[in-house]
Amino acid sequence: MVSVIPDRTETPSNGKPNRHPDRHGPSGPCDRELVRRCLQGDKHSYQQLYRRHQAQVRSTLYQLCGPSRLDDLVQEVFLRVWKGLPKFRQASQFSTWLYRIVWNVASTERRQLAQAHEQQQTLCQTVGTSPDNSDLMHLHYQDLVQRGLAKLSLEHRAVLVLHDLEDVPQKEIAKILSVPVGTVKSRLFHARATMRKFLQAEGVQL
Amino acid sequence: MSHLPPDDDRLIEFMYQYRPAAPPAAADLEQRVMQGIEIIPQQLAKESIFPIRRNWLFSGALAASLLIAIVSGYRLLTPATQSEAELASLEAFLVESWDGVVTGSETEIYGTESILSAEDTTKN
Repeated sequence: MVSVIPDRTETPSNGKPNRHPDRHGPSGPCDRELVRRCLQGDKHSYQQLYRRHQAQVRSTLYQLCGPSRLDDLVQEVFLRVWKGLPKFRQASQFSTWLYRIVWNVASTERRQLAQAHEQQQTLCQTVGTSPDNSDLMHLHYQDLVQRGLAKLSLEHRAVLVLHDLEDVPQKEIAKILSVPVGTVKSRLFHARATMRKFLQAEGVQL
Repeated sequence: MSHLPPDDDRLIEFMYQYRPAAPPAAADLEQRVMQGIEIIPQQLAKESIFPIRRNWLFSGALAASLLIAIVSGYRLLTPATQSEAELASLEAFLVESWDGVVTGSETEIYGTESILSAEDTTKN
């Protein structure tokens, strides 16, 4: 058993590291203003929105669906966003609405993958296309996390990815998935328990 | 999330630290997205307005149909006002029909009686 908990480098007052500093304080106009301009046909503002959010969208889609068709899925999300912008209610948060579209696209993709029995193949590709890294242990732990995520149902996986990896608050996740906050808490509890059990069985000391 | 159990905290840190990074995007992905939005007509982007209009049209048509149906039904069920000539004609028809019925019965009775009397004569 090896302890592999990394040191925290940033720890804000809420006890959680601020992993996405740009999300909370973006430079330039706010999302709402950009959306308003997009609705007037300003495509340059849409490019700004794309650049601001594509990394989170890409990362979330990757955690939920794996690497196959990742570019296509990102493209589909942003085309749906553009098409649906007039339906976006300015009262709600743009990122919540965006993640909702991500969730819809991911769900559809997962269903299609399941129907085609390609899940196993996808996981194999995932392992094969891990980023170059000389640290074998780092690669090993990455593989463990990926395999642990793959053990979860899509619903549990989505909550774990959004909350623990993407820092989306539980209340926002409830809106994204259209479920009560209590359901989010419950899924998070079970997802963490499954993940912990898997990692410990693989020799990781948490 | 400020009161996470210690082991949850460690688990989250581990997952975050070792989550597999998404492979880099294709160099032309942004260009593809921007080209994609160019070919989506602006009307499509504003299509959310139309369902509301369609709903209003549908509701209006439904209400108008209901109104027509009610008015037509009322007219059909209410007897029309008759003119003097029509009333006189109707009265004459009723009297004639009634006479016909009464006369017809008497003829039948007479007929029955004559048959009975003929039978009696034969027996005697």
